[in-house]
Amino acid sequence: MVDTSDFILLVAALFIFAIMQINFSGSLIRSTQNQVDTELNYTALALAQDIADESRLKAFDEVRVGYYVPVTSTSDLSTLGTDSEVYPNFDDFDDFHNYTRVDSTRNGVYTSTVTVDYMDPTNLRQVSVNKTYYKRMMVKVASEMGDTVAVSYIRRYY
Amino acid sequence: MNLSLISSFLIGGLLLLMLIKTNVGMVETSAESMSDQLAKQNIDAVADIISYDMRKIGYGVQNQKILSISEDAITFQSDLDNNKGVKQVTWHFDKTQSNNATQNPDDYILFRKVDGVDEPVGMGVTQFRMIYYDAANNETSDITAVARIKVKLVCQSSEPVDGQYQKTAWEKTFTPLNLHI
Repeated sequence: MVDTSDFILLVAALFIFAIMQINFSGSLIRSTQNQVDTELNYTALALAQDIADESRLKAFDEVRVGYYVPVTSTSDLSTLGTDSEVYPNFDDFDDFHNYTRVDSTRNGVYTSTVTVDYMDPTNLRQVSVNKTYYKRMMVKVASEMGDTVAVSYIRRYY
Repeated sequence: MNLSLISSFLIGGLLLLMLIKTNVGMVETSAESMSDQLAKQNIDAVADIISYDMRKIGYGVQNQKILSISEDAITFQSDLDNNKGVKQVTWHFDKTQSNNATQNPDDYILFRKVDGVDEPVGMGVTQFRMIYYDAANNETSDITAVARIKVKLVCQSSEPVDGQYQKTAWEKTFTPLNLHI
Protein backbone atom coordinates (compact mmCIF):
# COMPACT_ATOMS: atom_id res chain seq x y z
CA MET A 1 0.00 0.00 0.00
CA VAL A 2 1.05 3.57 -0.62
CA ASP A 3 1.69 5.31 2.68
CA THR A 4 1.22 9.02 3.34
CA SER A 5 4.89 9.99 2.81
CA ASP A 6 4.95 8.32 -0.63
CA PHE A 7 1.77 10.14 -1.53
CA ILE A 8 3.22 13.50 -0.49
CA LEU A 9 6.38 12.81 -2.53
CA LEU A 10 4.24 11.88 -5.51
CA VAL A 11 2.18 15.04 -5.26
CA ALA A 12 5.37 17.10 -4.92
CA ALA A 13 6.88 15.41 -8.00
CA LEU A 14 3.74 16.03 -10.01
CA PHE A 15 3.67 19.64 -8.84
CA ILE A 16 7.28 20.19 -9.91
CA PHE A 17 6.61 18.54 -13.25
CA ALA A 18 3.49 20.64 -13.78
CA ILE A 19 5.47 23.83 -13.08
CA MET A 20 8.11 22.75 -15.59
CA GLN A 21 5.42 21.98 -18.13
CA ILE A 22 3.76 25.39 -17.65
CA ASN A 23 7.11 27.17 -18.06
CA PHE A 24 7.89 25.17 -21.14
CA SER A 25 4.49 25.84 -22.70
CA GLY A 26 4.98 29.53 -21.89
CA SER A 27 8.28 29.48 -23.78
CA LEU A 28 6.63 27.90 -26.81
CA ILE A 29 3.84 30.50 -26.77
CA ARG A 30 6.37 33.33 -26.44
CA SER A 31 8.35 31.90 -29.34
CA THR A 32 5.23 31.84 -31.55
CA GLN A 33 4.30 35.32 -30.34
CA ASN A 34 7.76 36.58 -31.34
CA GLN A 35 7.36 35.08 -34.81
CA VAL A 36 4.00 36.82 -35.23
CA ASP A 37 5.36 40.12 -33.86
CA THR A 38 8.30 40.03 -36.26
CA GLU A 39 5.96 39.47 -39.18
CA LEU A 40 3.63 42.28 -38.11
CA ASN A 41 6.46 44.70 -37.41
CA TYR A 42 8.06 43.96 -40.75
CA THR A 43 4.92 45.02 -42.60
CA ALA A 44 4.42 48.00 -40.27
CA LEU A 45 7.94 49.18 -40.97
CA ALA A 46 7.36 48.97 -44.75
CA LEU A 47 4.15 51.02 -44.41
CA ALA A 48 5.90 53.67 -42.33
CA GLN A 49 8.70 53.82 -44.87
CA ASP A 50 6.12 54.25 -47.68
CA ILE A 51 4.89 57.51 -46.15
CA ALA A 52 8.41 58.77 -45.42
CA ASP A 53 9.44 57.98 -49.02
CA GLU A 54 6.41 59.80 -50.37
CA SER A 55 7.11 62.88 -48.26
CA ARG A 56 10.62 63.15 -49.70
CA LEU A 57 9.13 64.18 -53.04
CA LYS A 58 7.42 67.20 -51.55
CA ALA A 59 8.79 70.68 -51.05
CA PHE A 60 10.27 71.48 -47.66
CA ASP A 61 7.67 74.12 -46.99
CA GLU A 62 4.59 75.70 -48.52
CA VAL A 63 6.62 78.83 -49.36
CA ARG A 64 8.85 76.71 -51.63
CA VAL A 65 6.01 75.18 -53.62
CA GLY A 66 5.93 75.78 -57.37
CA TYR A 67 8.27 78.73 -57.59
CA TYR A 68 11.46 79.90 -55.97
CA VAL A 69 11.05 82.24 -53.07
CA PRO A 70 14.20 82.77 -51.04
CA VAL A 71 13.60 82.13 -47.38
CA THR A 72 15.70 84.63 -45.46
CA SER A 73 14.34 83.92 -42.02
CA THR A 74 12.62 81.02 -40.27
CA SER A 75 9.64 83.32 -39.75
CA ASP A 76 9.03 83.05 -43.51
CA LEU A 77 8.19 79.37 -43.04
CA SER A 78 4.61 78.24 -42.77
CA THR A 79 2.85 76.73 -39.80
CA LEU A 80 2.74 72.95 -39.65
CA GLY A 81 -0.16 71.13 -41.21
CA THR A 82 -2.08 71.04 -44.42
CA ASP A 83 -2.73 74.29 -46.27
CA SER A 84 -6.19 73.18 -47.41
CA GLU A 85 -4.69 70.38 -49.56
CA VAL A 86 -6.10 66.90 -49.26
CA TYR A 87 -4.08 63.72 -49.67
CA PRO A 88 -2.79 62.70 -52.26
CA ASN A 89 -2.44 66.34 -53.30
CA PHE A 90 -0.13 67.32 -50.47
CA ASP A 91 2.51 69.63 -51.88
CA ASP A 92 4.86 70.15 -48.99
CA PHE A 93 6.47 68.08 -46.27
CA ASP A 94 4.47 69.29 -43.32
CA ASP A 95 1.12 68.75 -45.03
CA PHE A 96 1.48 65.25 -43.62
CA HIS A 97 1.14 66.64 -40.09
CA ASN A 98 -1.79 64.85 -38.38
CA TYR A 99 -2.36 62.74 -41.48
CA THR A 100 -3.90 59.34 -40.72
CA ARG A 101 -4.13 56.40 -43.05
CA VAL A 102 -5.63 52.92 -42.71
CA ASP A 103 -4.07 50.13 -44.77
CA SER A 104 -5.47 46.64 -45.18
CA THR A 105 -2.70 44.13 -45.71
CA ARG A 106 -2.35 40.40 -45.73
CA ASN A 107 -1.26 40.67 -42.11
CA GLY A 108 -4.29 42.70 -41.03
CA VAL A 109 -5.30 46.33 -40.79
CA TYR A 110 -2.72 48.94 -39.85
CA THR A 111 -3.34 52.52 -38.82
CA SER A 112 -0.60 55.02 -39.59
CA THR A 113 -0.47 58.38 -37.87
CA VAL A 114 1.95 61.09 -38.90
CA THR A 115 3.18 64.07 -36.96
CA VAL A 116 5.62 66.71 -38.19
CA ASP A 117 7.54 68.97 -35.85
CA TYR A 118 10.17 71.66 -36.13
CA MET A 119 13.37 70.43 -34.50
CA ASP A 120 15.98 72.24 -32.48
CA PRO A 121 19.03 72.60 -34.81
CA THR A 122 21.44 72.29 -31.88
CA ASN A 123 19.81 69.06 -30.71
CA LEU A 124 17.90 67.21 -33.39
CA ARG A 125 16.27 64.96 -30.80
CA GLN A 126 14.55 67.98 -29.30
CA VAL A 127 11.30 69.35 -30.69
CA SER A 128 11.39 73.11 -31.11
CA VAL A 129 8.44 75.34 -30.34
CA ASN A 130 9.85 77.85 -32.80
CA LYS A 131 10.15 77.49 -36.56
CA THR A 132 13.54 76.18 -37.65
CA TYR A 133 15.15 74.90 -40.83
CA TYR A 134 14.71 71.32 -39.64
CA LYS A 135 11.49 69.33 -39.70
CA ARG A 136 10.99 65.84 -38.36
CA MET A 137 8.33 63.46 -39.58
CA MET A 138 7.31 60.78 -37.10
CA VAL A 139 5.25 57.96 -38.56
CA LYS A 140 3.62 55.62 -36.05
CA VAL A 141 2.04 52.48 -37.43
CA ALA A 142 -0.21 50.45 -35.14
CA SER A 143 -1.27 46.91 -35.95
CA GLU A 144 -4.57 45.38 -34.93
CA MET A 145 -2.70 43.61 -32.14
CA GLY A 146 -1.88 47.01 -30.66
CA ASP A 147 1.84 46.90 -31.40
CA THR A 148 3.25 50.17 -32.68
CA VAL A 149 6.27 50.77 -34.86
CA ALA A 150 7.64 54.29 -35.27
CA VAL A 151 9.89 55.65 -38.00
CA SER A 152 11.27 59.17 -37.95
CA TYR A 153 12.74 61.15 -40.80
CA ILE A 154 14.43 64.51 -40.43
CA ARG A 155 14.52 66.91 -43.32
CA ARG A 156 16.38 70.19 -43.53
CA TYR A 157 15.71 73.24 -45.62
CA TYR A 158 19.13 73.47 -47.29
CA MET B 1 1.84 -7.69 -7.90
CA ASN B 2 0.73 -5.24 -5.23
CA LEU B 3 -1.28 -2.08 -5.71
CA SER B 4 1.61 0.31 -4.96
CA LEU B 5 3.71 -1.23 -7.73
CA ILE B 6 0.85 -0.97 -10.24
CA SER B 7 0.13 2.65 -9.30
CA SER B 8 3.86 3.47 -9.52
CA PHE B 9 3.98 2.03 -13.03
CA LEU B 10 0.87 3.93 -14.03
CA ILE B 11 2.11 7.26 -12.73
CA GLY B 12 5.63 6.64 -14.04
CA GLY B 13 4.20 5.76 -17.46
CA LEU B 14 2.03 8.86 -17.43
CA LEU B 15 5.01 11.06 -16.59
CA LEU B 16 7.08 9.38 -19.28
CA LEU B 17 4.37 10.00 -21.87
CA MET B 18 4.14 13.66 -20.85
CA LEU B 19 7.90 13.94 -21.09
CA ILE B 20 7.94 12.39 -24.56
CA LYS B 21 5.10 14.68 -25.71
CA THR B 22 6.95 17.71 -24.36
CA ASN B 23 10.09 16.64 -26.15
CA VAL B 24 8.27 16.09 -29.45
CA GLY B 25 6.59 19.49 -29.05
CA MET B 26 9.96 21.11 -28.44
CA VAL B 27 11.49 19.53 -31.54
CA GLU B 28 8.50 20.53 -33.71
CA THR B 29 8.49 24.11 -32.42
CA SER B 30 12.21 24.36 -32.95
CA ALA B 31 11.92 23.10 -36.54
CA GLU B 32 8.95 25.40 -37.18
CA SER B 33 10.82 28.35 -35.76
CA MET B 34 13.87 27.59 -37.90
CA SER B 35 11.72 27.18 -41.00
CA ASP B 36 9.88 30.44 -40.28
CA GLN B 37 13.20 32.21 -39.80
CA LEU B 38 14.44 30.90 -43.15
CA ALA B 39 11.25 32.06 -44.89
CA LYS B 40 11.74 35.51 -43.30
CA GLN B 41 15.37 35.62 -44.40
CA ASN B 42 14.27 34.69 -47.92
CA ILE B 43 11.65 37.42 -48.10
CA ASP B 44 14.08 39.93 -46.65
CA ALA B 45 16.66 39.09 -49.32
CA VAL B 46 14.11 39.36 -52.15
CA ALA B 47 12.68 42.59 -50.70
CA ASP B 48 16.17 44.11 -50.57
CA ILE B 49 16.82 43.41 -54.26
CA ILE B 50 13.36 44.65 -55.30
CA SER B 51 13.76 47.82 -53.22
CA TYR B 52 17.20 48.47 -54.71
CA ASP B 53 15.75 48.39 -58.23
CA MET B 54 12.37 50.02 -57.69
CA ARG B 55 13.76 53.14 -56.03
CA LYS B 56 15.97 53.72 -59.06
CA ILE B 57 13.31 53.43 -61.76
CA GLY B 58 13.98 56.10 -64.37
CA TYR B 59 17.25 57.33 -62.83
CA GLY B 60 19.40 58.92 -65.54
CA VAL B 61 16.77 58.23 -68.21
CA GLN B 62 15.66 61.07 -70.46
CA ASN B 63 13.04 59.27 -72.52
CA GLN B 64 10.47 56.67 -71.49
CA LYS B 65 11.25 55.38 -68.00
CA ILE B 66 8.78 52.52 -67.72
CA LEU B 67 8.50 50.35 -70.83
CA SER B 68 5.80 47.85 -69.85
CA ILE B 69 3.73 46.85 -66.86
CA SER B 70 1.46 44.03 -65.85
CA GLU B 71 0.36 42.41 -62.62
CA ASP B 72 3.34 40.08 -62.52
CA ALA B 73 5.94 41.90 -64.61
CA ILE B 74 7.50 45.31 -65.08
CA THR B 75 10.18 46.52 -67.47
CA PHE B 76 11.88 49.83 -66.87
CA GLN B 77 15.08 51.71 -67.64
CA SER B 78 17.53 52.99 -65.08
CA ASP B 79 21.17 53.88 -64.58
CA LEU B 80 21.32 51.23 -61.87
CA ASP B 81 25.03 51.50 -61.15
CA ASN B 82 25.24 55.29 -61.46
CA ASN B 83 27.82 55.05 -64.25
CA LYS B 84 25.84 56.77 -67.01
CA GLY B 85 24.97 53.37 -68.45
CA VAL B 86 21.21 53.05 -68.69
CA LYS B 87 20.08 49.46 -68.31
CA GLN B 88 16.82 47.79 -69.10
CA VAL B 89 15.51 45.90 -66.09
CA THR B 90 12.64 43.44 -66.03
CA TRP B 91 11.03 41.79 -63.02
CA HIS B 92 8.86 38.87 -63.97
CA PHE B 93 7.14 36.24 -61.85
CA ASP B 94 6.86 33.16 -64.01
CA LYS B 95 4.18 30.82 -62.67
CA THR B 96 5.02 28.27 -65.34
CA GLN B 97 8.47 27.71 -63.89
CA SER B 98 8.23 25.81 -60.65
CA ASN B 99 11.24 26.00 -58.38
CA ASN B 100 12.60 22.45 -58.54
CA ALA B 101 15.29 23.16 -55.97
CA THR B 102 12.74 22.96 -53.15
CA GLN B 103 10.14 20.46 -51.99
CA ASN B 104 7.50 23.16 -51.97
CA PRO B 105 5.13 22.68 -54.94
CA ASP B 106 3.83 26.26 -54.70
CA ASP B 107 6.99 28.28 -55.13
CA TYR B 108 8.03 29.62 -58.50
CA ILE B 109 10.97 31.44 -59.98
CA LEU B 110 10.99 35.22 -59.85
CA PHE B 111 13.17 36.58 -62.66
CA ARG B 112 15.23 39.73 -62.58
CA LYS B 113 16.51 40.41 -66.06
CA VAL B 114 19.14 43.12 -66.55
CA ASP B 115 19.96 43.97 -70.19
CA GLY B 116 18.69 40.58 -71.29
CA VAL B 117 20.63 38.58 -68.72
CA ASP B 118 18.34 36.50 -66.53
CA GLU B 119 19.01 36.39 -62.81
CA PRO B 120 16.56 33.87 -61.33
CA VAL B 121 15.54 34.60 -57.76
CA GLY B 122 14.38 31.38 -56.11
CA MET B 123 13.92 32.06 -52.41
CA GLY B 124 10.56 30.29 -52.10
CA VAL B 125 8.47 33.01 -53.72
CA THR B 126 4.85 31.83 -53.95
CA GLN B 127 3.14 35.12 -54.78
CA PHE B 128 4.39 38.28 -56.47
CA ARG B 129 2.01 40.97 -57.56
CA MET B 130 2.36 44.60 -58.54
CA ILE B 131 -0.31 47.28 -58.52
CA TYR B 132 0.33 50.63 -60.21
CA TYR B 133 -1.02 54.00 -59.08
CA ASP B 134 -1.06 57.40 -60.72
CA ALA B 135 -0.33 60.70 -58.99
CA ALA B 136 -3.92 60.90 -57.75
CA ASN B 137 -3.49 57.47 -56.13
CA ASN B 138 -5.86 55.71 -58.52
CA GLU B 139 -4.94 52.36 -60.03
CA THR B 140 -3.61 52.75 -63.54
CA SER B 141 -2.33 50.63 -66.41
CA ASP B 142 -0.96 53.61 -68.33
CA ILE B 143 2.84 53.41 -68.25
CA THR B 144 3.22 57.17 -68.62
CA ALA B 145 0.97 57.83 -65.62
CA VAL B 146 2.58 55.48 -63.10
CA ALA B 147 3.68 57.37 -60.00
CA ARG B 148 3.66 54.63 -57.34
CA ILE B 149 4.12 50.89 -57.44
CA LYS B 150 2.83 48.57 -54.77
CA VAL B 151 4.66 45.26 -54.59
CA LYS B 152 3.11 42.34 -52.74
CA LEU B 153 5.28 39.37 -52.00
CA VAL B 154 4.72 36.07 -50.22
CA CYS B 155 7.48 33.56 -49.54
CA GLN B 156 7.21 30.08 -48.09
CA SER B 157 9.75 27.78 -46.54
CA SER B 158 11.36 25.27 -48.85
CA GLU B 159 10.60 22.26 -46.67
CA PRO B 160 7.48 21.44 -44.70
CA VAL B 161 7.26 21.02 -40.95
CA ASP B 162 4.49 18.66 -39.97
CA GLY B 163 3.09 18.98 -43.50
CA GLN B 164 2.90 22.77 -43.32
CA TYR B 165 5.05 25.33 -45.13
CA GLN B 166 5.88 28.45 -43.13
CA LYS B 167 4.60 31.55 -44.86
CA THR B 168 5.69 35.16 -44.61
CA ALA B 169 4.37 38.21 -46.45
CA TRP B 170 5.73 41.67 -47.31
CA GLU B 171 4.32 44.58 -49.20
CA LYS B 172 5.58 48.03 -49.95
CA THR B 173 4.50 50.97 -52.05
CA PHE B 174 7.42 52.56 -53.86
CA THR B 175 7.37 56.18 -54.90
CA PRO B 176 10.34 56.40 -57.30
CA LEU B 177 11.72 59.92 -57.23
CA ASN B 178 12.59 59.92 -60.95
CA LEU B 179 9.02 59.25 -62.06
CA HIS B 180 8.12 62.66 -60.68
CA ILE B 181 10.79 64.68 -62.46
